Amino acid sequence: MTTVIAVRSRPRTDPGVAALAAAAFLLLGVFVVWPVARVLATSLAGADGPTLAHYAEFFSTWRLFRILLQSLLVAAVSTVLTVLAALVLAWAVTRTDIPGKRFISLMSLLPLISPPFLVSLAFILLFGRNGLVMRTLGLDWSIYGAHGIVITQVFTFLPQAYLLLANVLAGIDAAQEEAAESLGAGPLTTLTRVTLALARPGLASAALIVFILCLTDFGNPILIGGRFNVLATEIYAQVIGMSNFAAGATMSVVLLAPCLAAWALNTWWVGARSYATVTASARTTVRPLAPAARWALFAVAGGIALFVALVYALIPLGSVVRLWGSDWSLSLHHYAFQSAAEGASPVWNSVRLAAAAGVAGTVLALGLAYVIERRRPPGARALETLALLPAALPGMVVGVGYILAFNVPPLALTGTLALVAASVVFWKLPVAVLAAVNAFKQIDPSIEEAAVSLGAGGARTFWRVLLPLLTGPAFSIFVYFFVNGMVTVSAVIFLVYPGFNLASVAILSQVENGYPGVACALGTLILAIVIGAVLLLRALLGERVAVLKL
Amino acid sequence: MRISLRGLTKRFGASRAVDGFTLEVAQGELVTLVGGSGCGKTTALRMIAGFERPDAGEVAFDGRVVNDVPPRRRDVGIVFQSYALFPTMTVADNIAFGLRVARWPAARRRERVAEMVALTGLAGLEARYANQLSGGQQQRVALARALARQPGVLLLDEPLSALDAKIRLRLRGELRKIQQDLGITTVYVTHDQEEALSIADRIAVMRDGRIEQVGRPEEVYTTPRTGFVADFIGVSNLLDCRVVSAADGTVAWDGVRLRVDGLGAGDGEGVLVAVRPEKLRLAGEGAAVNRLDGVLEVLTFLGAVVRLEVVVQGRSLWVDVPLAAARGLERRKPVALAFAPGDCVVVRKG
Repeated sequence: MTTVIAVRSRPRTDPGVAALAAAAFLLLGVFVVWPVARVLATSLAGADGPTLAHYAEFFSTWRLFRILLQSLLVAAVSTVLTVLAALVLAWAVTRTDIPGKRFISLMSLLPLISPPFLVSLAFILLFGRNGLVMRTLGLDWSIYGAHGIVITQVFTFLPQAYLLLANVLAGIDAAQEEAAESLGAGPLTTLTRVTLALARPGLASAALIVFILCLTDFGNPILIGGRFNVLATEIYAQVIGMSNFAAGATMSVVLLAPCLAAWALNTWWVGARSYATVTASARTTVRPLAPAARWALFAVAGGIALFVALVYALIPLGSVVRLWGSDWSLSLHHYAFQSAAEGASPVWNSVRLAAAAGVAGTVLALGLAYVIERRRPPGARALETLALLPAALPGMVVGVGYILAFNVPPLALTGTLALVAASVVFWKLPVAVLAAVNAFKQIDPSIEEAAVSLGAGGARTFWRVLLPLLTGPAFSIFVYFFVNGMVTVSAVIFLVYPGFNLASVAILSQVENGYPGVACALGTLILAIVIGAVLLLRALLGERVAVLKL
Repeated sequence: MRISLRGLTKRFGASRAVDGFTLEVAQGELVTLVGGSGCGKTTALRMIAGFERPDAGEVAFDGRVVNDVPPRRRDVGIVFQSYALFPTMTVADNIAFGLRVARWPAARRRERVAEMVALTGLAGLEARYANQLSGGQQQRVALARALARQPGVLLLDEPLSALDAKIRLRLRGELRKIQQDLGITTVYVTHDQEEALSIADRIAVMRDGRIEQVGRPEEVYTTPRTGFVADFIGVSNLLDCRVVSAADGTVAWDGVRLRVDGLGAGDGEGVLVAVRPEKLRLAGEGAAVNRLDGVLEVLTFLGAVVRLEVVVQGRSLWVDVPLAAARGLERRKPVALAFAPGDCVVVRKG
């Protein structure tokens, strides 16, 4: 008798892949782990060794401790309202037959490709001291404060929640609802016991992600918070205003903790609870609504969408009005950018940054995804976790960390475009890596095996076989980094240097210095460049270029 | 419950998914709707369930028109192709869902769930979730859930198509047994003609939204009324012929004279002569009625029989012969076929 021995190929890591993995570890170590470690170390540093004194001071000073409570409260309220609004919009678009769904969907996504605080700018134009509404109605009411932050955050972070929930709701098999209905359940029972029960993990996930975004939001609170402080703005004040790095680092850690908790909860707890589609093919059918419900829903969803449209119409309008609130004549003088010595240079700097982050980020994300998803060397899981970790990092923490880590030798990189670009690339890496990993997963492994069986090596297989299949995802990832390079503010605000300001950062200072018209002009240019870039790539490459969420 | 479908029509845009569909299903009867994809069988089923509103025509249960009755008040149990089990609930909660909605008291509910669990052979799995079950088990839960409320009508939409062949056969038998024991009126949609034939009291073959033929399985199999039915139900050789003499039953197929029984067409008309592979036999030397000379191209072993592909007059014909008879046959060698005039069916063209 012969014994058949199953020959199993031993996983073998070829030297090229090992080198790639090592390089990836090094990069993530330097640009993700090291800055966070520096923040932690600075918050613990005392005159004579490690100390908890900074934390003790933070938690015992009512003024500071209150800021933490205020931040959490505002973020919680914003989150609840955002998720509710997004749920209505997503449900209206994916599951009902109300008119104008394309417009509602488009408007729900528009804030995705704009600087996260343009909403605040628009609200200032409407409800600020010289606001359109205030002037016309002669009201004495102030948008500045916690309520302003909440309202603007709802509109700012609507797209993220909308995208997540629209995905979840569209993925629910209509047969589930029909099954409930055929078993005698009415619309309300079906909605609560079946549809929303299935969407529960999606709702939790959306809530946690929006909570992180609201808690770490910097642009809206600084523009519209007035005297109401949140942690993000306080960190900025401590570090940039008072050069108090120890306090800034301590507050960064305090801000980081709830973000990490929410992120971990979403990644492991909610992830484990999501209802993997039991069926192969989910079919979504649009259910006809009762006329009254249909029009009520249309009024709510259409109203929100129309308001978003108004917000984005106000920015270009504000840029061509001579003096908002007093002189309504039209003029292009804001586009001369004479209110600051730097002129229009921030716009070009932003484009340079966006292009650099786009190219570098795309290469890094695709390379990482290839190693993680396809080659799986030892440590691939750790590499993946490291690459996804920045999703939990507030932009302020990244900014403070980069100053602390790269202001001194051996890596004295502050004051370079490369470091600003690195902050965008590594902070925004998680979404890009997930998209790239997904793209690799779509490619049948046997395609690679075919190439290898025909004698192609790892590098050739990657360049000649895989990469051509990845043009769509690659350009989507490029667009993602490009857009973020154009609009991001919270990390880069710490890293801009004399002679190198960015358009997004300049908007903030123009508003603070009393030039909302110039801020609108900058915002209009950013919007035009971003939309132009997306449309251009779409025209060249077709529908394959998608706008990634977050 | 008795189902009457009269002139059901459903349009999606410009196309008619279901077009003038008329069918009676008697109390306790199981009728299969069978046809290729896009033939309208699922749409017809969804109109019976109430998920689609007919653009024209009527659905009546026991003579009462239910067009305006919403699905949840139709007294219909449905098994979906995807099963559509609620992943948020256990097996027991899935089965009890309809009972809960109908506000059955807890004790009766538990009793009924236990009955359904026993009926469908799910004992021991009550506390599991759907994604912890095999495909066959999910199918049983879907059936138990649909039957728990004792509906008057059971609708099944490709209930077995997601399962592998062995389990499909076993569940098919179980399903039929349960249906007959309960005596529940059932409409069963499938694309699998073998499944349709084996499980049904009657079978309705659908094409382009219409019923092509309806009848008992053996009736549809042995006397298909159209070329489509002959070809779709089982395998048929369709010979495109012209009637030479209606009086003595002679037709011509590409110049070859054939004798057929039951010719219902006039001289010079075109007809299709359908011959099942098992009705064609190998002819020996010498003359025979309906002799066809050809060349053997392919032999396919199917178990008890061997299927031959024989090219006659440039057309391929299927022939099933017993294993023993296939001995000594070789590819590319001439073979002679023959069939008796009574062993074919003459059908209308189309």
